[in-house]
Amino acid sequence: MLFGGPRGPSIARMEHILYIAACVIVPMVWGLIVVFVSNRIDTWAKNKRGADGHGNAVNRDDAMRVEYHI
Amino acid sequence: MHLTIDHHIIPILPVILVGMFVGYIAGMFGVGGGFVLTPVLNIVFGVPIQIAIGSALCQKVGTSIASFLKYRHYKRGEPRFDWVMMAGSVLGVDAGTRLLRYVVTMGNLGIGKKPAIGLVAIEIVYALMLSLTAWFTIREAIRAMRRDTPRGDATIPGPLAKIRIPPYIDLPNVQLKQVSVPVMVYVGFILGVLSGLLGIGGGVAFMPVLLYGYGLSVRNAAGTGILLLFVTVVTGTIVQAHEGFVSLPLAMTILIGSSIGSQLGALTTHHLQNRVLRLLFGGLVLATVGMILWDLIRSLV
Repeated sequence: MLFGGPRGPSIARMEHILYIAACVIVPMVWGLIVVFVSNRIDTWAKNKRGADGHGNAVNRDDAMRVEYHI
Repeated sequence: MHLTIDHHIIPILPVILVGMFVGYIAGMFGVGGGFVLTPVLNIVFGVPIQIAIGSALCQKVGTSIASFLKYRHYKRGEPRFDWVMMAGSVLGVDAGTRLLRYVVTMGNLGIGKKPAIGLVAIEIVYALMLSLTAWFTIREAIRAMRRDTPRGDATIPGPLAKIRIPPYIDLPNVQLKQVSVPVMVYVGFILGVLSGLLGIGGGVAFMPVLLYGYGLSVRNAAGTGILLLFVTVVTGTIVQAHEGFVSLPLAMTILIGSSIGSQLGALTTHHLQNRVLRLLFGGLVLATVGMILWDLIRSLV
């Protein structure tokens, strides 16, 4: 038995709660990292195009997606 | 390299590729792509339906926080929608998950390959729901193609906005007056149930409600509900993880793939016309319905 001692059930319960928390926190942190990196790339691309003289360069945020059209 | 889920060995690389495809769809169409993910995980990879649903919801936590942060600065839409519907939605997710727990223990049908009753029920609900979305999307795409001038941001009150059950609330940001609060709460509840039962987010359920049920313009609809979706997905993940329906390694593998795919999808959007995008989306939803029906028929015959 994995948690056989007198405090077994409470440890198993704690492990269960931690797993639930991880299921929310881990993907959320990943999402935040993706947003951060994506914003950095956008800023870098904007600056680079500005430096190259393409003032009217398209920002990826301006992309029209189906949620604007369905 | 592989993942082991409920005695099923699932290779990691194909799952990452599926994640990339789902992310590509999300980036291209601006919807979550979860409507493709759950059937693919279940039908192609053999992941038990409840784990496919729970893990699909879990990976949406990552995508929905990203959408929330990206879209909130547009300040479009009506935040009161989110707050009122949230009451029903949170309860709905719990009810949907309980329903899922019940249907997966319902035993087997006595015909064909003796499929699980729960799986058949979920596939039928899924197919109906997606067919409805595809029908609305394609119909609206054809209407928009025939329209001479764009509709703009004006709201044309839909059937749900006209139901008279007090108390009422005004939604000035989307030009709606005297909208029934109980109807909004119940609609939120139904969306929550669908989220908990099928693992779907907003693209195929919530957006059609806002667009065709309440008559919001597409821009306002896109700005509305992002907070609601985020809260619904987080609540759904907590409840599903509590039931043991979430595989975090599976969810994270998909999320890594989808993070790459969504960047590529967003770039593709620039090269396609709006009407083409809409028809493509409708076609993709129909293709998913076809895959579900094929699996259903295969298991019943």
